[in-house]
Amino acid sequence: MPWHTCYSLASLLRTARKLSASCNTVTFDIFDTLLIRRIHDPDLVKPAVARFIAARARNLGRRWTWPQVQTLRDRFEKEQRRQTATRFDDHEACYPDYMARVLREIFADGADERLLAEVTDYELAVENTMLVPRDELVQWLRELHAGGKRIFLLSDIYLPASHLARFVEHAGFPDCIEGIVSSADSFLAKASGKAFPLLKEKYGLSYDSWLHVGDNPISDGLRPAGHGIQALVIRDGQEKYRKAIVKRYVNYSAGRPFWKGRAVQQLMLPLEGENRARSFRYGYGYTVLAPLICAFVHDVAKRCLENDIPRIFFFSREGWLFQRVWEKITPHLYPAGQLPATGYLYVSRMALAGASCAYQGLTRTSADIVFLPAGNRDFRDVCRVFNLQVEQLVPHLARFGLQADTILNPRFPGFAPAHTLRLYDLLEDDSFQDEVRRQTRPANDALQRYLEDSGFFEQEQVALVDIGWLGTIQRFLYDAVKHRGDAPRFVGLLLGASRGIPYPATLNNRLEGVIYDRDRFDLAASTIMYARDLFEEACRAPHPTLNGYRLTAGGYELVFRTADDAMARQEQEQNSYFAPLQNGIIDAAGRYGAAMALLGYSPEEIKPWLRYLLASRLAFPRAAEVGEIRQRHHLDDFHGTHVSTARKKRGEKGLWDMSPLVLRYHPLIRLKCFLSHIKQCLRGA
Amino acid sequence: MRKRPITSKQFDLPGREIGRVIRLSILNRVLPLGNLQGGPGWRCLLVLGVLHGVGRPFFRLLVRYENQLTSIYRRLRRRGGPDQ
Repeated sequence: MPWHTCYSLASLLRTARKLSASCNTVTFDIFDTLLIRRIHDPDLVKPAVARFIAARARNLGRRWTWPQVQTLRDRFEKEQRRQTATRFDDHEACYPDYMARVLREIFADGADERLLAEVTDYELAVENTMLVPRDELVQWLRELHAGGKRIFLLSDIYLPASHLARFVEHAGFPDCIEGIVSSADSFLAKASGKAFPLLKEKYGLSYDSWLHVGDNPISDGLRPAGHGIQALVIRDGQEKYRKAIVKRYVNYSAGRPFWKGRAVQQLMLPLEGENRARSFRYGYGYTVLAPLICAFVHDVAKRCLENDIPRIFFFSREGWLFQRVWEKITPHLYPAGQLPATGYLYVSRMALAGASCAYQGLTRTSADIVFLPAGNRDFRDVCRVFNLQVEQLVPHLARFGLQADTILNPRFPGFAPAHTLRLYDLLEDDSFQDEVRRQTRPANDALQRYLEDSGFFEQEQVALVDIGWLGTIQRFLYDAVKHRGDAPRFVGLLLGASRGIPYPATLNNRLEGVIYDRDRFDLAASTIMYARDLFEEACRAPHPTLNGYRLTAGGYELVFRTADDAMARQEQEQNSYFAPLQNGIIDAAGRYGAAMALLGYSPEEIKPWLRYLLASRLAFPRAAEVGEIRQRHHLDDFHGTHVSTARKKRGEKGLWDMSPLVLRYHPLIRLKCFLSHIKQCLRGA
Repeated sequence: MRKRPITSKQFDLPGREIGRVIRLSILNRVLPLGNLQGGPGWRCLLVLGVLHGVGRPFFRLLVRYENQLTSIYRRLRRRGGPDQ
């Protein structure tokens, strides 16, 4: 009986619906028929499993590299196939048999059923991340089931039917399947045609009313047709096209590191039913911000493991997204576990500023930081930031010829350098500093209690993860706790370190920019400074900012900003506006973890592609992109409300602040801004 | 902007990424954009540009002759040299 070949899914379904009308049994091939793979080569799952086994072996002190594990697996699988070939027509293998041998060889007495189950679970989990149900075909399968047809799945593979059932369960249609038959259980495969009589005998089927659907012309076409089964073979040009693209990216990555990140993104792409229509912001989060943020969090995990850091604290509010991404990617990337414990710390510059003065007083650097934002003008802003009562400090100011509203920021008219010198003299005065310490001590005490509750002092060193940019939060936090004997060593890991003010790095307190650090000259990565607010808004938690720590009778309380003012409403509007962007990042994170685990890349290896992403999206964005992504509002309580009357110098306006008309119609604006940016980088600004 | 699927019909990233890579690579020859670790390579760009650009109708057409094309390709590779 001839079999039918269809060159598209649509024509397959048309033909299949006609043929199935006269059949009561329909069987399907699984892989590349019902389930497609994101990756072009199914064998690419094996190195990921080899890495898992090698990591487990290393944890037990056994020196095995993953290529050695893979070679061992290939050898034992080949040996089993040679043995089965002496008894059967098909040269099949059974995964539990040869994998148990592999584990006995590597772990000796340590190889038991539990370990085999663990390795199997991991292999099936990795396979599942790469399998996608073919929407239309599964829909037809459900129709067949609803119509009372008997449905079975057949596959020539080394995985037994019990393992294949887990793929079907993950794909979401186990209720429609009466039985699954794998060549690994019986060593009888479709390739020789022996699987069909086996199924017929086992389930009492008839060849006359049987339709088989698959993708292989021999196993799914010639062989079933030889038994009188109606056979449909799909040779889908679109699937081959998709796989050809994946194959190119993966193969090119071997010789050109630039393409590694692109290969990861190709595997992250949603397919079939996953590929729904989404808003531009969701797509931007998924394809632009997600690789950057996921690579950052991935690098944080790697550095913590390398440096034996037992605890990571994500700083609010941007750390909220970083922690969500951590939860999504680490199960894929570090399945053997042994990762540092994580925690989320409610902190902010405003909350920590006052607490940081309780023991050391108000330092010159802290005062300088206050006047970095253009909206802070005088000593009242200093009091606002450090939560000081200005009335009790006025007599101290008067002794140094200052008033509460003396202009201390050069951006404002009425400023004189002498004001700053007097302020510095004031900061040297003991009675002034005693008053500052007295006022800020309660906030510090409340902070200590909060940190103790959070387990902050329980380890010798901690990693502190934040977005950037000056490391002010870490600076204030260190100042607030450094007097304690049990204060841990601080290892700050920032998305970007702009180092606008030198950070007082010591052995006990250091920080580093992971994606961008001004101390490491990286022109492409420095474009992150074009749109810092974009990253802040993208990563920010939906809860309000923390204003301070307050002592209570029972202990302490965290004081959040609750003002229902225009700024709070604007922030909520901004949160709603960027919610799709955040959803895109979080949805992409799991796929990033799966893709990186499969390809075995480290975050450093995909940096060339990330640099391209930064340069292309931030330095050379399309006008429409900027229009959609530029934030509507940006809340910054640190920033005062004064408006400088000094004219902005020409060239101070960044590309992302330009009007839509300029972005669209000025042909060289991006080049001009980039050249100016290069000049700034070379000058070390 | 209207809603669109993330994966385009050409299986590229949204916004025709391959075109963007080509443009930025050309710019990178004139103005340093940063360390792209050797960059994308012109041959790779050409192949990927053609694949993403016109591959879809070609594969739809040529899948019917897959076996014949594969055997021609194998013969050409064998003719290419003993080490192929």
